[in-house]
Amino acid sequence: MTEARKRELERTVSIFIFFLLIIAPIFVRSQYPFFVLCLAVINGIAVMGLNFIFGFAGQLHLGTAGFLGIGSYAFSLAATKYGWNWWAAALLSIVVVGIFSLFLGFPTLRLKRYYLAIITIGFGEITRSVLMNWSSFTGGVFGIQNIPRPSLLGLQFTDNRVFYYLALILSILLYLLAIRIERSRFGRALKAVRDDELAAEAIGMNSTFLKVFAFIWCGAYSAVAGTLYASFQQYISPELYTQAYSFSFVSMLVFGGIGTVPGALLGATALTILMELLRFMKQWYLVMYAAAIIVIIVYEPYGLMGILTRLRAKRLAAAEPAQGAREVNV
Amino acid sequence: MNVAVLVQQLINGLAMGCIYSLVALGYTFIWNAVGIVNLAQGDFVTMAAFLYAATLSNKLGFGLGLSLLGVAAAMSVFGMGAERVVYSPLKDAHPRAVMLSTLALGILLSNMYIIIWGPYPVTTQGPFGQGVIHFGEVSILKQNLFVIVITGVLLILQWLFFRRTTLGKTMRAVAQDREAATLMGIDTGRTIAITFANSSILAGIAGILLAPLFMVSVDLSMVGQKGFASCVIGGFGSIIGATVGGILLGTIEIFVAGFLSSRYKDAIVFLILIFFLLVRPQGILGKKAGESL
Repeated sequence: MTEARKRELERTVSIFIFFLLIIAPIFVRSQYPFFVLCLAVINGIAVMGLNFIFGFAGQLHLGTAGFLGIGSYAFSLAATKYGWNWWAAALLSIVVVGIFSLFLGFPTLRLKRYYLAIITIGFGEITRSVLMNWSSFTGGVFGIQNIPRPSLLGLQFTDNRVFYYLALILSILLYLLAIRIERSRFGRALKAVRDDELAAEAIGMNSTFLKVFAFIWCGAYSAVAGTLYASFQQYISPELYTQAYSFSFVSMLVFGGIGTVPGALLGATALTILMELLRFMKQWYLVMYAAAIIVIIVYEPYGLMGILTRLRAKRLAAAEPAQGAREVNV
Repeated sequence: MNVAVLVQQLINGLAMGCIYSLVALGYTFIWNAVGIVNLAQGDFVTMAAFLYAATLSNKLGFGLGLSLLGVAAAMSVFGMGAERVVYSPLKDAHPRAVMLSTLALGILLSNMYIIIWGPYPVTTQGPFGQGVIHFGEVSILKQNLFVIVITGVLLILQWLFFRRTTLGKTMRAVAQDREAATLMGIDTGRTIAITFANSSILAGIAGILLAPLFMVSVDLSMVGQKGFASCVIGGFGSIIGATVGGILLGTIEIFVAGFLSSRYKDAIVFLILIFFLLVRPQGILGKKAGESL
């Protein structure tokens, strides 16, 4: 399938998802399903972020929850303890997570081995334990309460529905940004590094810089997701930012389709909802999840987007020869 | 701080380090054979610890020897099975796909443990309980001495295995150059499966040695992280490096916990790891050339 056709498919998928998310609140009235819906939007932002480093740069990142946690805490502490303005606190969160990404990304991504995977697992665990133990600053196991909702030009986002649409608008903006980045010089260079690092370096690309930069983008998206999560729940505690949480982001991306922005959205939205539906299965749902990931990697490495692309290609192939035949007749 | 405490801590550190070395060797053999990091290695250790503590020792009342044999047998079968599921179907795929599937296997396993052995930590006495040996002022847990002795014996056995037996030589040949080994008529698929089995046995023995020292729970898979850090510190891919790195890391960790902060010991060890990646990414014993793809 040509690049133009692929873009067309991506556009269709993303418009379809955003359309569903826009109209969904009409059908969802009760509190809990609405919470899940909001979570789906927030997870979508985090998974789009993960896609930069894992999808475009090809580096396995297993510590999303840690970065999300740092983002949540930086925002919440600034907004509650130090009384910062909501937007300033959100900005601070992005800066702090960005610095952590640089601190972790540079030593690790400089090397051509797949160190990032295990380093980020360790980082996630340590983040959680520090958040838990440094109770004088972070509130320890009790977490942080009364985290504010944003306000803009005198408009208050205290109502859940209004907040949902704010998150959705941010998600759409970040989607458009991610697409821009993907198609930019930087995005294409990243994919070149992913596909063949040595070749990319041979033609003069600085692979370390590219990978670290992708990692920082990932951090920025995680920070936004963390901020939105904290502000939506108005309460956070270290319990949330577990390795299982990090793994769920990876599986969302794998399920939706690694390396495509709409795939990230699709996976995040579908799996967030599915996960809540299956939560009654307790441990079994994670077992099934993990088994499903292995099956997907082996049989359909590009996830749902891969399946959609194949179906579309088949449709096009069925349609195009007919067209060609007509041309011959004329 | 007196000398007795220092010696005591050193022995404790050595024992911890021996366990990390075993885990680190598990990573190294798989890395050398197929060029991937097995992200489920820590969960392999946990499996053996649960199997030994909850089932063989506490439930069936097996002695140490029988338990060792049982765990080694179970882990070798399991290791080969794991290779069939997460490596073999992906052997032509990019290493990141294989690592992702080993990660998924790890998640699958750790949740299976909770289903099989319950959510609560399991404790077991081990062969020595809380028994202590006194050397003058220095008192040492018998279990810690046992860990050091068993690791020493195991390292010698591994060395003999790789140097003296045909199977061991075959495994080294595959690790050195898989294509050439295939051309020499070596069944690489089978050899890789056996490499996985060997790594799993090492993880299994680490699990048995750990079980009496800690509460056995899914959090034990943290030793997987430490084993990895040992590999990086010693030099990734180097067998001696993994051993030295593990012992060094265990000792550093015990001293950090004893004299700096036990709460933040993992965080401090992590900073040391980052420091190593920055300053000496090839590790203590690694060669500069090890940096190639």
